[in-house]
Amino acid sequence: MKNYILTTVWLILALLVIGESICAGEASVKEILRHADRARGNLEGVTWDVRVTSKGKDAVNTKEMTVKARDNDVLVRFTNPSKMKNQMILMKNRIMWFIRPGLSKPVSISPRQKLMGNAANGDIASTNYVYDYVAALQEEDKHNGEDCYILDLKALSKQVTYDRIKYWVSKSSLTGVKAEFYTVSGKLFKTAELKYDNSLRIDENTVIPFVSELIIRDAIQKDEVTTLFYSNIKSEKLPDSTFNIDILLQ
Amino acid sequence: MRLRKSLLYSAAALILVIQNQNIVLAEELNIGYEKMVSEEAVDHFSYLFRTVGFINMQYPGDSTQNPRNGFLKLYRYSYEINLRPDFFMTFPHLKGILKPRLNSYYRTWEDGVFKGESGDRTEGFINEWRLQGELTPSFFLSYGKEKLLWGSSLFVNPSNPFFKDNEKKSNSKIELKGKYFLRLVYIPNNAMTISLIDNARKGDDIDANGEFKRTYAVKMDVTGRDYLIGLIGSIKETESSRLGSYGQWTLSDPLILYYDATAARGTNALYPEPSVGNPLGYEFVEKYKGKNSIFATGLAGVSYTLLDGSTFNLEYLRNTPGYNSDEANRYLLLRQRASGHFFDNNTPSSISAKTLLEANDPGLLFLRKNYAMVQYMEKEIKDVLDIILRYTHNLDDDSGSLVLVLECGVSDSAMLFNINNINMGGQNADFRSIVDKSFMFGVEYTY
Repeated sequence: MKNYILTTVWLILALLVIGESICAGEASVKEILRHADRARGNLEGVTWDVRVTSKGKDAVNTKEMTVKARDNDVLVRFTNPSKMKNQMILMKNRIMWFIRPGLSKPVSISPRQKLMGNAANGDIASTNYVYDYVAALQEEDKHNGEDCYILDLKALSKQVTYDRIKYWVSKSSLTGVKAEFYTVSGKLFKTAELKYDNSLRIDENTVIPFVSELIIRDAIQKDEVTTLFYSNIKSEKLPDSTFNIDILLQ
Repeated sequence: MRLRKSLLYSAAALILVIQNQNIVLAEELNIGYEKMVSEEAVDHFSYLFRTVGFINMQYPGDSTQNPRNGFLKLYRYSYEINLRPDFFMTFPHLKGILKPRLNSYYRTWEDGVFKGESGDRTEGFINEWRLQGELTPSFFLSYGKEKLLWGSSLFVNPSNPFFKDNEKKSNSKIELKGKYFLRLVYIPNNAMTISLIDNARKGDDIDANGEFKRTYAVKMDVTGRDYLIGLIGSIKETESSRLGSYGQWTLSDPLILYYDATAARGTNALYPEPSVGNPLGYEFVEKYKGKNSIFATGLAGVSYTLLDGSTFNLEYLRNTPGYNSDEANRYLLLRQRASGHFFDNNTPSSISAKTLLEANDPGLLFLRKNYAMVQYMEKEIKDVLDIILRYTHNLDDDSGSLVLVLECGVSDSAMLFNINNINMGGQNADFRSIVDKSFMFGVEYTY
């Protein structure tokens, strides 16, 4: 009887320990993803400038814009070239509008519509993988000599563009350094590489790395490369009105 | 005179606002006022200068709405230069825009009774201006002449009591005129916006009879993670109150569903009715004005974006105030009779002119009850070319309108554009009553 009780207690304790370690594992993967999202703009008020360069077989094209982001709300204002000056993209969560001087009204657009080259409108925004995907630690690997976790992200719903993302996250900086994007049919659609030469002070004691370069390559037409260069990163308190289409000056 | 007055008022308002803002800031920061103006002027003011030059060719339809082009006097060729500067002012709690316009054109007439005529004109006006003050972080008050448009649909926005037919025009290069609005916007939180809107002044905002009817509206928008719903209650002078709603649901990154609708008791629209006293045998009457029947117009749409970024839209419009077959037949008969007497030198001629005026705008959003629209759009082809191909079909009389828009960037500042519109159907069908086809070629230069 005594043995039976002891065995049961040990079994319960073992289950508790295993359960705790499983929970800790999940939390740490989520925490890794949260850190990686933060370094790509998912913060409570940040502004930055972006230069998008699209390099194809024949030509190189460039666009410049300023971005204001707060959590899942983003306002993009084009500054260059002249013909795109003052055009805007406003995203409130998954609702997006395109605003263009001369057009009568804001046009509703989808995150999948093309921004330039291989970059979609959604690529300019801050990422929210921690909310949109369930992550599993697949393996560990090196990318450009850096030790990385490889996370397998599966879409929580059919709402997002990519059904699956294979995501390399640096062990030392907890930033996403490489991503492979797969369609619902399992086909590799495009790949992305990220650099973090920017930094951002988010409070008195915390400075975090911030994305400086996002290179997107088409999986089929490999000579088509779109690069987003991030600069002038600032932490800024952004009120609700920044992302309100009713009072946005057009 | 009116232009000069508007310019003076706008300039005075801007100067007052800028002075007030700068004085407040200067006092707060305890620095010299003059120094502040020079250092901060660049940050507070910006502009965008667009010049649009184009040739527009249109072929008027040979219909009973426009007999021998004598009623609408539609030109064949128009050569236009439009100067469209936009000025922006941004201070911490005050923002403003000013959009003066200078349009110059030379036109020639080659159809109907005005064949061989030509004319030119240059006109300057303020198309839009607005001052917007932030009373508190949640309350914003604005006044000015502006375009107040909303909704996800491409074809038409029935829920908007101010600009219901903004998208009926197929040509995005022709600017819509602003209207005067006083607005109080309340933003209680990031998910909700409540606006009180007063279409306060006459301006260019007149109906077919030259009358201005003031409109008041309350608009509430709620935005969720993947949805947006807007509710609009409005009342227009001498008309019954109206309820509108619009919304969209981002079902997935590529798939968006949306709607736009309005409903009211009765309608002020004109319907053709037999008339013993009218020499044309029929006349337009406000048959359902003040009646209890509900008249609703609703649009449902879907948008899907492929992996390459090209987007398809499909929209269906149900317009219950539109004419049924009998009413449409009476409408066409009345228009035909009016057209037949339009050039007479007697009483029926003046009645005909009035009848054609009413037939051209009977107060309906669309003439018939059922419409469908399909659009294909691809942007940034080779990073320079945008294409829009849109077809709208009147499901009741089988007429249609095909629009092809091409825009091509040729430098950092210049863009070439070409807008083609071909209307199909019978000679007097809905889409062919005014213009058979039109072609526009132009260049837009921005700096």
